[in-house]
Amino acid sequence: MNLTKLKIIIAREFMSRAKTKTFLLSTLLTPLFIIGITIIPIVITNWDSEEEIKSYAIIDSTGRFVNSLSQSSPEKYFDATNQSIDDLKELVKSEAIAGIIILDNEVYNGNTDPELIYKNGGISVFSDIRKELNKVWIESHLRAENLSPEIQQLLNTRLDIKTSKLTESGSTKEENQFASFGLAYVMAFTIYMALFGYGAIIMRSVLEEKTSRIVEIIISSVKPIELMIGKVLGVGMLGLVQLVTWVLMYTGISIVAAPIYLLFAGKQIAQTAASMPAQTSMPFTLPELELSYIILFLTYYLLGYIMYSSLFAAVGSAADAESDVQHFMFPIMIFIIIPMILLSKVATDPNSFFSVVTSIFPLFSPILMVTRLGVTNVPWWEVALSIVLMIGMIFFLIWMAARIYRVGILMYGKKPTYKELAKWIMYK
Amino acid sequence: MPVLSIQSVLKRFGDFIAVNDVSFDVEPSRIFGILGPNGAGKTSTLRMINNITAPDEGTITIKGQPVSENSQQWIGYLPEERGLYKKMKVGEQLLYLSQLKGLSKSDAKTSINYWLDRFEATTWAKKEITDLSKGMQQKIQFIATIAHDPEICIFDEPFSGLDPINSELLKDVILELKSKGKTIIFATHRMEQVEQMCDDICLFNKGKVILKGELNTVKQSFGKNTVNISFSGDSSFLNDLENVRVNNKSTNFAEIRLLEGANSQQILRTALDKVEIYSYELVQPTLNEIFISTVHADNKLES
Repeated sequence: MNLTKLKIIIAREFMSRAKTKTFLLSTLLTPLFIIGITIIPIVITNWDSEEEIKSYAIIDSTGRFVNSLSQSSPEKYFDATNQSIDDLKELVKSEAIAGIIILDNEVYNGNTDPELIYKNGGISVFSDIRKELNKVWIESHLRAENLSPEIQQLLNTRLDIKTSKLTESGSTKEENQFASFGLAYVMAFTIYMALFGYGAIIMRSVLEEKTSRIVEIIISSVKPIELMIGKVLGVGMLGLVQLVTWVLMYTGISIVAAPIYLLFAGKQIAQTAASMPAQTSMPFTLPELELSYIILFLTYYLLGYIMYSSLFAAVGSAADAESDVQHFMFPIMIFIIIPMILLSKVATDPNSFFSVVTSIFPLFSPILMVTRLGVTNVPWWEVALSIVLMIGMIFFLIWMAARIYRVGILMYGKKPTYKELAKWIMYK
Repeated sequence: MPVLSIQSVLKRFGDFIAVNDVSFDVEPSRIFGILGPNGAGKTSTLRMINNITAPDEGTITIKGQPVSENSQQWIGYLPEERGLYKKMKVGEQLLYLSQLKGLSKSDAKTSINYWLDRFEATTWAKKEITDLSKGMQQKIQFIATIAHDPEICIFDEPFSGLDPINSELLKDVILELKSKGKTIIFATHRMEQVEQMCDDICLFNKGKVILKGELNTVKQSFGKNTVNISFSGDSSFLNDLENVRVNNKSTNFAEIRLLEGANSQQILRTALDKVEIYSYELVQPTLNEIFISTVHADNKLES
């Protein structure tokens, strides 16, 4: 391997892409896009709830519910037991009030469900009302049993789980299980996208060198394997730059996210703060990225990328036109897609035998081990073993890919069969 | 000492033998023509000389050393299947290719500037290949081949696809390189240019060398066995001649190769009877004729 020439190739492969507008835009806009599709719905939901609250008319023939309802949220519920239902319906039609809730003895006895008459509404509105009605319904029964307020409160208490993960160093860390789940998914998905995306770049680039007929000129100066590895590393560096940029952006965003969120939702939080026990100021928290996780993530990304990109290079060299490649892509795609199918099984039960084995299988490791690392503490020897196996796999695949590649780039005209590809590997 | 020496080289692709026991030497500062029909093994041989593929048997030495990464730098290779990066600027592209051939950045720049200037192409340096016309691209392709000042220049079908102006230009460049002491190797199945330019030839058929030597010696060995006749009148008499092969027939000219049993005086008499003769000359065969008859004879021998 001639390192000087390898460096020249890597530099060209890297620079010729890094200088393009496409790269700049995709690096900067992809995270903005992802943030956009996660944050905007939240912001919109919150804006919605800031609209003028229309109230519901309560027709409570039992008299057991209406007081607690109108006391807990006086702007939402008002007593309309004595008004005619037809008048109220007119008010609903003209949108002066949001709806009518009818409660009677049958409801109190649990024989029927309360009735809500409305004109506009959505699932979130109904689920709020359902919760509130349930609460007052239980309270009314508890009251009827003459239980002491202490016991009433006990029965109304709902427990949640506070999760903290024991790390290797022995310290416990409070962690939101849902957040680390989400993070593991995002990271696995990032690797999945990168394997496909950068693999396709490699493949197209090999194909382009072949169809533009420059490849024979280049390999009269360097070995085919040098060109292939230079290309893989050059494009890999490009991907690394992109990922590191994204990690930095993520860190930056998680620092400024809370203040920004408060800016948008501050008013509502001020309102609810009074009624709610002092709790989270945001409906979600961005999980913190540990440095060790970032390093492992980048390691798995890089090894996975090198493993698959050499295969994509071989595919590009065997094909003559982009339309030919589907045929050869299939077996590679299978190995990238299977771990995505297993992802949720591994994420929900990360320490099962099945999860351990599949995440150590080198072709699945980049996606599945990153998932496990996100949701659980993976024993160090499993990480080490999977990395060793991946490196071994890389040597094998590069050897195989390079042998297909050096023959393929000089073959024009006919689409080779798998049998012929096997023969190419054996040529001297 | 030959600058390039090929000894008993054999190259297989699966069961197919592309190059079969080929040997020849190329002397320095000569123009060496590798001739042969399509699929005769010319390109396979050139790829082995360029260390793109390796022979299964035999040896190839360049300047006394076996082919290697090192010897690649002494060679400028214009492959039959050639092209450039479409979306890369001319200057950057030439710099990249010369650096891959081992030139330092500054040496490469000096040389590229010289050749761009020589081809009146300096203003194209900042353009992408796609923005250039076909003819301009061909010029850049030559520069890419010779910018690192190789001692050996190998051109595979150099004239195919060239417009007449670039054909002349390439011819001039080749003669210029020769006068500077470079060795030139041509591979082609088109004979005219070879006949005008080559010092030595080597004829391939079905993976084997069937004829090699200095061009003049080769031609002389075939003797004066060809009649060039120009005439006016009905050319159908040519069809009645026996033991001859008529090449290059046009309305008032024919090149008649005399085969075993043919009599040039008899042909002259026949022609006198039928047409008005302007010239009648007994000459050496053309390279084209040598090519055709040798390949035919070889193919017959095999079957």
